Amino acid sequence: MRKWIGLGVAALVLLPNAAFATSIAGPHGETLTVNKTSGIKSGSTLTIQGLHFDETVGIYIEMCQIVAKGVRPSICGGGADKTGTSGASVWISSNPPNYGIGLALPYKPGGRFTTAIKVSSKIGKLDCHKAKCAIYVRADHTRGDDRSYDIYLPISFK
Amino acid sequence: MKKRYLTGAIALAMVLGATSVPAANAATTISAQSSPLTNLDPAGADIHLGLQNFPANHGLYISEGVQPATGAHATSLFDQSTIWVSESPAIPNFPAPLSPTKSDVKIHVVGAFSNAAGVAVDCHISVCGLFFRLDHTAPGDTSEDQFFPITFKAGTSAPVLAPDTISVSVNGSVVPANVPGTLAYRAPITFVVTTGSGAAVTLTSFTPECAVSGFTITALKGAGQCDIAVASPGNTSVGPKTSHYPFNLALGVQSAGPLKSAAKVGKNISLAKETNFGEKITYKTSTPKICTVAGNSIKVHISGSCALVATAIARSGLYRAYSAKMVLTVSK
Repeated sequence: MRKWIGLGVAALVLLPNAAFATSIAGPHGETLTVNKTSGIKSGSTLTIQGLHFDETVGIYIEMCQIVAKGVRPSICGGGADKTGTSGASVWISSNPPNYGIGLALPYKPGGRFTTAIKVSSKIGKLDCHKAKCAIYVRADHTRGDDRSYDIYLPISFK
Repeated sequence: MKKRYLTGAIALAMVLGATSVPAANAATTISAQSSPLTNLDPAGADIHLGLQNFPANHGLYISEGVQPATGAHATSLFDQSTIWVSESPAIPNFPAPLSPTKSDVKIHVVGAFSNAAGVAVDCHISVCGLFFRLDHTAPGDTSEDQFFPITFKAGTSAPVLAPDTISVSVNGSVVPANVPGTLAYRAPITFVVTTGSGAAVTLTSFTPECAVSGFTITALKGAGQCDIAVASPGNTSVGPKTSHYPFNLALGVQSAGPLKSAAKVGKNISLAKETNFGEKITYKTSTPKICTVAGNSIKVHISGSCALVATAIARSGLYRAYSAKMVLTVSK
């Protein structure tokens, strides 16, 4: 069994356009879905959907380099978009601080959201053709060190 | 044994120039770090506190107030003095809590104030002090209640203004402060607020389970509690005032939009795919000769009554299951 898993992982690493899952379930019962995760054209816009997220926890959605579990993703495209202007990250919160009112997208009932982010194959100098990148969800800066809300879907570029 | 230990701690602290709080049952040990606790300036003084054995799962509120009767919860408190000490994350739109280990835990006290009921308190006459209690994460738990006396030197206190008055109603019904109401998941209510001063108020949710937008409050959970604070800055005649409106949260009710009641033979009818909370709706019919179901599409075959049941699952801590019966009158 372990051999098969090992082979699968190897296949994912070796194939540049390996198909990645487009949906993942998080530890709190939430589901993250991205409309396309493989063979993405740099500069394109992805549609991100969430379901059953905890509406009391604000989140950021952005593309980041994949890091080990429990480690805060730090190389991200867009960063914490508190101005809502970059299009590379999205802030979702139903209870943002004053300055976030009108910027943060509130959850719909049922912990749902549908949004879009623009992705590039490069995050600064990091080339996501070579490095492993993903669409990340993490708790927003009001819970900046809380890693329990981190979930991600690996993506690959053309 | 514990009292002996605490007495010893107080004696030692007095020798060292600091003072520890007698804590009959509480676990937290408090000491004044760098400020005297007696002969304070009645116009205003800062007290810096050190906290040891802080509660593991809750925070503390610390307020200036009048000494309560033995074993009683303090009720005559100076709201504006209250500080929140906690390792919890900040509450949006509200000052971040002070960390018990990393922050300068400072409280500003005065020689005279008006308590929440508008009663003027002169600490030269009443026994004033610092009152410690568990925060909103442990409602009704008095295990950390502690009172720590302070005294002021003779002199003039800052002028005392009676606090503003705040009145709240929802849909024409008065909502009393400090009395828990009920609020269902995603069933928003709107506060209508009037103040004696006429000053504009601000609403703040002290708990992440509720969101505030203007005067509208929405529960984001279907279990637990919310605490909504309504604050008036007062004016030149009356002092500021903050009133709290707690709510017990209740499960939400799912709905699925208008149901249909008529259909034509041979036509497909498309019904709602999901409830207002996003749950998938499952349709079943008990009259398969008249109509059949495929997903959210209903096909009617012959005239008669097409009986349908629509259901959606519940979600723990948020909302109840959905179930609705529907009868379509099918005609040619």
